[in-house]
Amino acid sequence: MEELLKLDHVSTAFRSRSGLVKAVCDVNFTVAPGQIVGLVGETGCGKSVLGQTILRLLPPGVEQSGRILFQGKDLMTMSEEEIRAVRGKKIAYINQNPTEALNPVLKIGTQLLESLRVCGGLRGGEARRQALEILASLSFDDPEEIMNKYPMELSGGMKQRALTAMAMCGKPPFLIADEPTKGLDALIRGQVIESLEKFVDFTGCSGLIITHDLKFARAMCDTLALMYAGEIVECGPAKKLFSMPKHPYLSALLASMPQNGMHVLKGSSCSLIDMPEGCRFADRCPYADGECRARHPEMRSVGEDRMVRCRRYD
Amino acid sequence: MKRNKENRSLIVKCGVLAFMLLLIVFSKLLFGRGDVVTTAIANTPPCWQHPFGTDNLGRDLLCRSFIGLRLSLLMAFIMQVICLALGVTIGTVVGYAGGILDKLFVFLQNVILSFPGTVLTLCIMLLLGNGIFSMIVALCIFGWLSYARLIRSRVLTLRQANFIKGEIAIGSSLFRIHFFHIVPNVIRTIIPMFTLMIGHMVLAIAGLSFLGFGVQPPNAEIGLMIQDGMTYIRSAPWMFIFPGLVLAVYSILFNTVGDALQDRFDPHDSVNASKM
Repeated sequence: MEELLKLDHVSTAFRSRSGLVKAVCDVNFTVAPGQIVGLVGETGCGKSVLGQTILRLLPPGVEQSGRILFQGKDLMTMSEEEIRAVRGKKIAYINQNPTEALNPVLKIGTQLLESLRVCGGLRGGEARRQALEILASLSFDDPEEIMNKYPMELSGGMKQRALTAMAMCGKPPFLIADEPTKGLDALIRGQVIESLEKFVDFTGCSGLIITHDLKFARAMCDTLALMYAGEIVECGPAKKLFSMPKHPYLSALLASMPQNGMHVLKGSSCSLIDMPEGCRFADRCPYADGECRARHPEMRSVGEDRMVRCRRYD
Repeated sequence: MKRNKENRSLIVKCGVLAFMLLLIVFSKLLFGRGDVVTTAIANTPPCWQHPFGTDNLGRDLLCRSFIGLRLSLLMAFIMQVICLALGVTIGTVVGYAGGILDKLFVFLQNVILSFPGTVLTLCIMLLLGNGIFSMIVALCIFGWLSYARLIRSRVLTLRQANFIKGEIAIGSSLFRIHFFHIVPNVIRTIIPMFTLMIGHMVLAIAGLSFLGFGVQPPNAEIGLMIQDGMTYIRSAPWMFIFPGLVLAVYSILFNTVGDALQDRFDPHDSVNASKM
């Protein structure tokens, strides 16, 4: 199977006063054309950092290693010019927190037309037509009116859709959506799912969806990768992961969902500065023994299309 | 509703300011005849012919107040344009570059701010000699700093903003990001500041001229006129009262309009207003 995006031993670390914060450790996965991969995990596990690492959006001075191959080219070693040609045109990025992701002093239309100009090279009347078409396709009732509004005049869900519209401008083959449902209620979450599905229809793209919303991930994604403390602990087809979780962390996450009884997973994620020697989940794991704490488990294949990082599946 | 009312009051304030500025621009046409020495009518108290009275040399005070203010305003405007250009350029460069350049800027800023403003200005005036040019230089040395500080801090915060990250993510160049996203965010803070600062500058010019620096006689200048009036404070009090009043009215006007513009333009306030 030919892959569109391939992450090969990708690590990202931030320097801080108290030491190196290893936000993403040795992540490997691939996305095939037409595939939607969900990156799930709790807050602070490195999902968003990984998303931003791919497009090199992190501030300078961040330590990154590994290879990120997109259509066969390594994004890590590209020059600033080259990566700029990828951003928006090849890989679109939908920022988390739509309230802050739109420039508060420019009208939606201005920002949308600008995206069209930068990503699609369109200007004037043609750009305007395209903008209205995109807005209409995202079920905005009155695109003309939306174009003339400032971000603060829109609701959270509308802002999210406006951001989606901007990402659609370059008709990119790949989309990274960072927490598209954060802080939205169930009704609006439905709208976001719909708008992202339209995005996929419109551009025919594949994507990486970063979320901590398991329900949303199940609705949107073909494949899921579960992250814990900077590394992927389980990945495989979304449906199988939900019906038959392997990693104890995934089982715990599923048990914590409201419809499964909201069982709380005790403890908190380990520090990203002083990593434990063994399994990072050991302190919260009901099955952990001495061996777990002594040796760091590797990802191993379980069945034909699943991988899990737990020594119980040796 | 509240917004409408605010807008109306802003329009009224700007209207008044515009009218008063027109008065100044056309002051020579309107009351230009009075700026001649006519000792015969020296020290005339306010009357129909000379609403503000005349000074010890028989010059019409109404005429001189406005002509004097015209000079001050023109200087203040020129100074602010210089300060703005300097401040915006330096603030932007420093805000983006960061590192050692930024540290240097902060150090320079602390040095300049640690001097009492008036004393430093007077020192510079002493070094450069009296006159309009040296006054502009002396006041600009302080003036650019306030713009640069403002722009720097805005650039620093905006650089971290999510929408700038989004902008990078669609592949925009640094230049485009700056002029399309940073500048519109900053301009709304600058317009009110510019207005406020013109008011301050007019006062500063008057102050320096009052002390005998800056504008020299026989040019008309408010500070100078007030100083002249001090000599005749008992026999002809109108000589300092009216120029003082004109100065006060104009600086209050600039401050009011500046404040109103700030309320209207500052995005932080408008965000808060939308939440209410």
